[in-house]
Amino acid sequence: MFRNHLKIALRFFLKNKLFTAINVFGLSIGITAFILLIQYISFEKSYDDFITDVDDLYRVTLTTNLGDNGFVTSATNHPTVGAAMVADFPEVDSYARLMDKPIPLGGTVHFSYTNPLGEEIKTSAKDDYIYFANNEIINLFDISLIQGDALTALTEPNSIILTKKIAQRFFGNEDPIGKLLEINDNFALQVSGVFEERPENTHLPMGMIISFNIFGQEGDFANSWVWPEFYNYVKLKPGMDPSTVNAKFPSFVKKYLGDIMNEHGFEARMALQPVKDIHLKSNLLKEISPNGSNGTLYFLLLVAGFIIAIAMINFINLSTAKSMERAKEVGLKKVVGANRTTLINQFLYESLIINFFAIIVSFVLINVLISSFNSLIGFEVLNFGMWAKWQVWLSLFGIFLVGGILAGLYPAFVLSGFEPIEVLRGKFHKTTKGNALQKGLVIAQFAISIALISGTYIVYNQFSFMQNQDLGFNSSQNLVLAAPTYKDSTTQHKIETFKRELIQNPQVNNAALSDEVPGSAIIQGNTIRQAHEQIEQGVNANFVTIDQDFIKTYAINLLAGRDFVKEDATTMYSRNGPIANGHRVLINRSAAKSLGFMNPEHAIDQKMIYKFGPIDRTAEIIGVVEDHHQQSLQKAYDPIVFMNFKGFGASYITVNLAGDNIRETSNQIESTFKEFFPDDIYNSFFIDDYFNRQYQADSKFGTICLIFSILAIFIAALGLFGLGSHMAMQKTKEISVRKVMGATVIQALSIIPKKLLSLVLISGLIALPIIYLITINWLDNYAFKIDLNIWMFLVPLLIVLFVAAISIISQSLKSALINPAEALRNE
Amino acid sequence: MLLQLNNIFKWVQQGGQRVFLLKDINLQVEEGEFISIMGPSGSGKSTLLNVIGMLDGFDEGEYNFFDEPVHQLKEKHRANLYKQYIGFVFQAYHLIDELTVYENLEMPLLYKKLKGSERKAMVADMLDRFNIVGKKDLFPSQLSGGQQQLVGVARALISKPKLILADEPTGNLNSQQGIEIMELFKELNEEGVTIIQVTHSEKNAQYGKRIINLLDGRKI
Ligand SMILES: Nc1ncnc2c1ncn2[C@@H]1O[C@H](COP(=O)(O)OP(=O)(O)OP(=O)(O)O)[C@@H](O)[C@H]1O
Ligand SMILES: [Mg+2]
Repeated sequence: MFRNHLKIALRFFLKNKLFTAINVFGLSIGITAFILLIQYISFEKSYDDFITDVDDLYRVTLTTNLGDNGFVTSATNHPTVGAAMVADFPEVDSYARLMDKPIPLGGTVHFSYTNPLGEEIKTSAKDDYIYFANNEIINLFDISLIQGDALTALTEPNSIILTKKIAQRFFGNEDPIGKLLEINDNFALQVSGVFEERPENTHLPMGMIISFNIFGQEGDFANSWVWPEFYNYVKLKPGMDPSTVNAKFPSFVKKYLGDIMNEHGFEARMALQPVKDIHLKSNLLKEISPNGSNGTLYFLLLVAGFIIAIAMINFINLSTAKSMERAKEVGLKKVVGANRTTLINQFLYESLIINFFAIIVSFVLINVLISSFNSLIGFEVLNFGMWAKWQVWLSLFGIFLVGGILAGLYPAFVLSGFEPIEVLRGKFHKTTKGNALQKGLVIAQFAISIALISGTYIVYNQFSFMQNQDLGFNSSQNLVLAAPTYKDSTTQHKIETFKRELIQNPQVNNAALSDEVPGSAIIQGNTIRQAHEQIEQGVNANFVTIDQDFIKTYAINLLAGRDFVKEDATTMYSRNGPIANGHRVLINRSAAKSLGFMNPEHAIDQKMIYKFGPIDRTAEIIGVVEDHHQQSLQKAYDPIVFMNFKGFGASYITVNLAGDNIRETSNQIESTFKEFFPDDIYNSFFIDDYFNRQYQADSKFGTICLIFSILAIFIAALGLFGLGSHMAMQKTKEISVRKVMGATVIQALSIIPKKLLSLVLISGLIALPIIYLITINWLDNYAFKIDLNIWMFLVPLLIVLFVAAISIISQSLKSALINPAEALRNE
Repeated sequence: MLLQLNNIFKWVQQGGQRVFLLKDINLQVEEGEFISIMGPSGSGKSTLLNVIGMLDGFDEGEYNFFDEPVHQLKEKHRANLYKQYIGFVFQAYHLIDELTVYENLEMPLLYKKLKGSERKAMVADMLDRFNIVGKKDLFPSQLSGGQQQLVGVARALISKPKLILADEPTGNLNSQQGIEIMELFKELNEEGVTIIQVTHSEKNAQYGKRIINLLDGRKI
């Protein structure tokens, strides 16, 4: 029996090549997309899974209401939290604390190693993931040391451990242990361990880890409760419930932070956050690396489901449609005694065979696509090793079985249900059986397509809106150099001279020093208030230190008052010391508003107080500038106070280039830099590139959405094409008769779109309200966003209508163009 | 003279060979004639009728319709000629299942851009004439074969054609129904309508005033 089924099935496929091709092709694209997306999703879900005790590992977060933004939770905490928790809470086994900013090193960081031949190997440490951490990090995060002692590798104040790759970069084939690495030509670290490369799926990628004891053991800020810039991880003892620890935090916070909170009038809370949740469910202030988003994953899961659903709907629709042509076969089989079960089995076999072909094709497709998919995602999400996992095979087999049976069941029942007498009388085509379901499925396909097009279109619009908006500063032709490393007080002087030298170049308009440039979050900030106000009235603001050329170089608009001049620079402070008189600042429009000034003019010559650590400082506002986008347009404008200190440690030198020969000018700048700072590494970028890198994650998401939406729509169109050819075949007779009655080709064809139009309209009514709500919700994540308009919803509807009409009419056209005699000959 | 076929050939290419469907057909038809075409199955009767009805082309020869050279006319012009003068009756009726009797009758008029009121009057006329007023809201599947063919003839006649082409109009009917259709044709012919019918039945052929016999695509 099976051989008979197989024979009939294969003959049927051979005879109906278009039908078979559309089904196999559509299903295999659907399966491929589904598997790829699922692999990506499980990659994102697997973050930090490789850590043995990840279920007992928590990060201690800090929530405070400093400033007027209410409670804000930060990923960083006081450096002392971990040790205090181990001392106070019996549930806590051990802790690790780390810091990722090279603050104790100052400015740009570079490492150098002088080998026995006297050659110096020097690299900037930009992408090397450097941290300061205590020795427990090795245990907590399962760092596997190839060389060195896991118990002591990070106990000496000057010890450093690094990955195999980085060790090779400096030391080649030499034994790294005991070698000296110099930081900023300033002080030396001794290599005490080499560890395996970390997996990519971790929120905490590691390259070099420097002993935390470099901060000093006792009494210093590293042991204080005033500098919450450290990441604290704790490991609970096995089986301990984090909620018991969370319940103890209020009294713990009171014990250690009570006095400070009273003094400064704020409140703090702490909580344990599972490390497992950090990648997808966290999105706190000062995250150590960019988070993924659960929402995005759910969205992609939805798309994956849609794609495979569309492919299956195609199959169901086409098979059911085809069933009309096979009614005769069924009728005859029944007449000679076939029962319903055998017939159902036959059609199920066919479905399974088609699905089997599809699986084979997608197996090939997946292997072909592995590397392009990885580069699309930006991680090695897939590799050929995936075929060694039984889960992958199981999911393929599952898709095969579920898909084959699900898609085959309905057509099998419709087909096997034909009554032989009806069939042989030729009346079967009047049955309305299956029509409602078929319509429903087509509507579902249209609705999904409309929603996907509309969603993708809106997402794309928002992204291009963000990238094309005026940023409030001059973003083209601004070259930014990383300032040289600070060695001593002469460095600042040298930088000034270097800057003057640059401006001599006729191709350079302007140059400015600053400790921040647009394109990332401002590190420094605290509360500000008008001079006559009390501390409780303080509002949050960010602090940026610039020189007198910064506003000009970035062409930021001055709204009131005046720009800095050289004489405004006051002497830099000692960390807690007093500040010179005549301390003057610029503020931006948002800061003026937060301070409560009615308009920019009112702020001029007013005094304001800003908090700097525990102390209050008074400054005079000499000018108000227009807001600029410091960060991506997802974020609102930052209130900013611009300060101007003599000899501040600038991190950046921004050069505004005049001419059109940018390459040559930047080469000249590079060689000047090397003349001035031969020991430093030249690092430069254009401010627009730097700014736009904030959109990388967004554009990746956009591209993934776009590609898979197009795939989904393509599969849907494929199905429509198949259905269209069937519909056209059914309509051939009607079209021909109408032609014989005198209809023109166009008139005869016009019967099809009318029916289509109503289907598409119903789909639109279903899809558009849903997609409207979803996109409105999504856009709420953005401070600056596009306005939705009716076309964003109508155009997708029209596109779907158009694609559907084309695929059906192109098929019907054949029947409209052939001689009616031909079409009616067989009737 | 209504139409004239001179040395018409029609063939199809099959396996590299020409298979002739029509061979050297010469035929003159005057207005008011009633012609029956006969011949064994596969002899080319339907093909000839389709060529006359301009539903199908031919490969060689000349075809003049009211002195218009059909073989040289553009598609559009030909369609107009056809629309103006010819009505077709099929063996398999070819009514549209989704339309009622009334709508089936109205359909050809829709393609002639007639006003709604005119169409209504003409359809009502036809319903009257064929005694199917009571059936006007039924769908084809609710009619007997004979009734369906009546509607088919009525549809062919509604645009007042000068020439009716009927391909075995009674092939699907019982003999009583067949006689009714033939009587109807006779009546129409007496009113001046030219009729060319294809038939297998000797009896039906006798309704025609002239009989043309085909064998293997050739007139004998
Ligand atoms: N487009 C075509 N391609 C190939 N062969 C064709 C085509 N049209 C008709 N024929 C063949 O031409 C021959 C004549 O066909 P036609 O339909 O005219 O016969 P007929 O005399 O009407 O027969 P019947 O009495 O069975 O209706 C047949 O053998 C038919 O198979
Ligand atoms: Mg015939």
